[in-house]
Amino acid sequence: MRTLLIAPLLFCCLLVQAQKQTVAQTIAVFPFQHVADAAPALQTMQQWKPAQWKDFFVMLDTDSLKLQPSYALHAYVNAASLNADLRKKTALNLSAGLTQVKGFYAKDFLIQRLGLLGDDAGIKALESFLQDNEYAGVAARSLVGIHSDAATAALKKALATAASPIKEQLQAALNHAAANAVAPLPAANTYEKSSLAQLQQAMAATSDLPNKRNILNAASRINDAASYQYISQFLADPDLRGDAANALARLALGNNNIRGAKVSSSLEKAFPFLNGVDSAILSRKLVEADLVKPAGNIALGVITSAEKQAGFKVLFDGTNTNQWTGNTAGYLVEDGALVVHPEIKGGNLYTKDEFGNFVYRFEFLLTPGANNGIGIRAPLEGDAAYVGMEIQVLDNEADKYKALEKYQYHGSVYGVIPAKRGYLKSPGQWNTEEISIKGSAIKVTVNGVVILEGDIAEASKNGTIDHKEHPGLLRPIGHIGFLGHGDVVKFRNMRIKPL
Amino acid sequence: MWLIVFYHGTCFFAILYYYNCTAFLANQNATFTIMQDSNSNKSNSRRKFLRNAAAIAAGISIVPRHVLGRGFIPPSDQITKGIIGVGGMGRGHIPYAGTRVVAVCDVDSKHLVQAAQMVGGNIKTFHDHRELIALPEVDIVHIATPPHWHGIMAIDAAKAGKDIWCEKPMTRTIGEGKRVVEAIRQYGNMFRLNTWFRFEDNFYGMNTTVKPIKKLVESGMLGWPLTVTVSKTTGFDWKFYWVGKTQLETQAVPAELDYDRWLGPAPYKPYNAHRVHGTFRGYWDYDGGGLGDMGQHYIDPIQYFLGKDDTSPVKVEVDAEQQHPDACGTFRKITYTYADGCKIILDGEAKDPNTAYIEGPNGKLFNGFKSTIPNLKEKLALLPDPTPQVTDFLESVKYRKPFALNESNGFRSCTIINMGKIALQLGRTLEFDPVKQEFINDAEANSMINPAMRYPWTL
Repeated sequence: MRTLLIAPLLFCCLLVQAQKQTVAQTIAVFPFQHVADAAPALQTMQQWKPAQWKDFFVMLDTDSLKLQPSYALHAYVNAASLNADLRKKTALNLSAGLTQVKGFYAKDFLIQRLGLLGDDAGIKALESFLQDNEYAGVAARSLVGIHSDAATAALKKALATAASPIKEQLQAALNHAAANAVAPLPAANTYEKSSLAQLQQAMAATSDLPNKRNILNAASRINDAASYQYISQFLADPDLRGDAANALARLALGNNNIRGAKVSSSLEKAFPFLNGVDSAILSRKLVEADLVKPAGNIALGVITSAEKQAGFKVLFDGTNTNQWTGNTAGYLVEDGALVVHPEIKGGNLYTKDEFGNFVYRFEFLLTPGANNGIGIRAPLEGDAAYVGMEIQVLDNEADKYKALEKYQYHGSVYGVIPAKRGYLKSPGQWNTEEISIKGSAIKVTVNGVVILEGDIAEASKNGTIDHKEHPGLLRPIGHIGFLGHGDVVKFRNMRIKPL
Repeated sequence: MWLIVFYHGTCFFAILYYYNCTAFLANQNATFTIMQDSNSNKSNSRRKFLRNAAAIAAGISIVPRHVLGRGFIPPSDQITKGIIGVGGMGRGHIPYAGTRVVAVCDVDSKHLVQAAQMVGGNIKTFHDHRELIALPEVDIVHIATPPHWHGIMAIDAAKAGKDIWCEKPMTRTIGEGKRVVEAIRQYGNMFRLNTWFRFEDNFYGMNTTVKPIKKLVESGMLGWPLTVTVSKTTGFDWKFYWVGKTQLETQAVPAELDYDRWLGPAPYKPYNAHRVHGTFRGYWDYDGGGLGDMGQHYIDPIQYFLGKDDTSPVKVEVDAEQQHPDACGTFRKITYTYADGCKIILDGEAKDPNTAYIEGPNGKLFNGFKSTIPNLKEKLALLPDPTPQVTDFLESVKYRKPFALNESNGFRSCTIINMGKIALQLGRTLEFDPVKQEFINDAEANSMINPAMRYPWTL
């Protein structure tokens, strides 16, 4: 009688033993040296019954045995995530494992895998940890990793009854999900192989903005003039013009055949809407490739985002002198620059606004021997050098200027404070300048070098060095002006920050 | 003649060696971004300008740039810095020229004491980086922590209005990188990475700076598209000793280390000394092995000389041993392909001694700047130099001009590293959309772009 019982018992033990060995044998290939080596094992794991998964999880839960199961499950989850059916089945297997394992390593590992797997079938198991102090955080983050409405709903439900410290962790996870909403797993990139004609049809047939953006994105990968033309119409659409601008820039930069007056004008229109991580590089490339003219609001010497943030505003944007008054006939806008035409008599050009304390930045280009000046805190009439202040503009190196007084050279507060010489580029090249004045403290910077820093009150307290009257030194506020003295000088990219 | 100029209240000064005053002054002009001559739309005149600027600049290479920071500014006028993370790399930031350390921060109190002693004087020490960032007397924040903290600290520093000098790799994930770029744009800070080969220094086994490589590529002499191979044969060493350990036993946290704060946003894993202080490079939670450590040094100049600073590869393929989910391993080959057919191959095996560094349909460039093109050096000398860039971060800080390697191009080259890390961990080929910056048809890969952070840390 006893032998009758022992035999089947022995048989069952042997069978169980065989199953354990099979699991260990299957996962012996991990870690694989070549991913193809693992294919048979992954196939076998797909066929595992609950009993085999159970054995597997025992190994994962045992410190001395957990290395290979960790590798195996890592590879298995990676493969399963690509197949909808297998993904669901695996999520259920891992969920079962979570009810079985006891140690921190295995629980933490399985919770993380469910997040990577990304299937709703794992939500129930993850939910069960949302009240556990040790695992609520990692479970919440895995729920976020599933990127589905059901997962978000599960988090919200748990949040409603949660207490600190778990409440804050759930809220943080929900915040992350909200800030990084990801579209549900899209169908195969629907438009990748579409022709321009097909894309045009698709665009006409949809009103869903993300879909429209996908269509535009696909069109931007068609590298020809036809798609360029198609995309340029979307510059007029406030929702799509950002994407359109970036796409037009890339197309034009990548294809020398996309050129011409229409292209240039659409790129000029697109320019202000360049956006995203590459906008600075795209802007610069467009200017360097001569696809866009450097007008007042473009790349080099522009209102940068830093300047915008700091409160600078444009005084001259390269297209008009609307903010200026006085000799608008003799200061003409050409190629984005303000050009002095000395042959047209008419006096000085002044800002309509008045400025007291400010940082004023601009660029200027001298012709050989040129003489001009920036009036500051000036009235609209009179000689700004004396009734206001003049910051000299001068071709320092011209022969006729070699014996001037030190306070007559470029950048000097004319007659009052001399500036350093030697920092101007040769005539015909653009220089940068910044005039910064606050109270009686004034600083002039040319091509990045501070050539003057001083105090007007100090410099004039015992009379000015030119021994002339400078009532303008006492004016707290006034216009900024261009004080022509009969030479061609060009200015551009003027922006000012009132202090 | 020595000419020392020094202004109260400003940080600007100049030191002229007695070789060539005007050349130095011209160099000042040449180091700024180019001024477009609006009179000419022809590339010829721009090239002439660049050539002139380059010729002038070349004449003053004898004035070392780092000299411009030394010794003649009174300490009270110097630009200041605070360093977060003063382990090995962080303490290396202390002597960077032209700035004065006023504060250091670390979660290891021994490192903090060591750093404070190195700097000397009355510097402030902190445990919490947010306190350092809030100091009004700090101009530049140096971030020298492991990569998993870079995103949070860069964004915190940006919000506080500080300029930022960040260790490479820029961020541990693509998602954090995007957020850093957004924050810098919003708050208008100057940002630089701590890699520099695109604009200076001997580029490893090439034995030249990157400049002649850039000129060669732009000249078209090699043709297009190009394949660039980064391996021991072509002059670059993949530091595969940065592998993690797979069977870490739990150890007691040493008294001087705040391990919870060290982990920060990274998932909780029981302490083992191999996770921290140098060997953190071997773990996916904090970095990315040899790829993460050296990748940006090697790959950033490639994006630069291929002219691809505004894009990313569209495909990444990996050939490697299986990566452990926690510990980084090694790789045999990682291949990136761009939409126009250019490739970057990271070759960890270096089997073929004849591999070219750059190979194109019309020519090859090898280790040591040897080439299949005859008289290459003479031909390159006739070509204009690349667009000058701002290569002194203090210039960026003072005059608000974007640095040569900033948040935009740094993000793009770091994205290549991070794409590679994801492909390695998943063990499969991935396709990437460089405009949307997402993987195509791979939800698991996409969920690794911006994973949620451990409470209470968030971007």
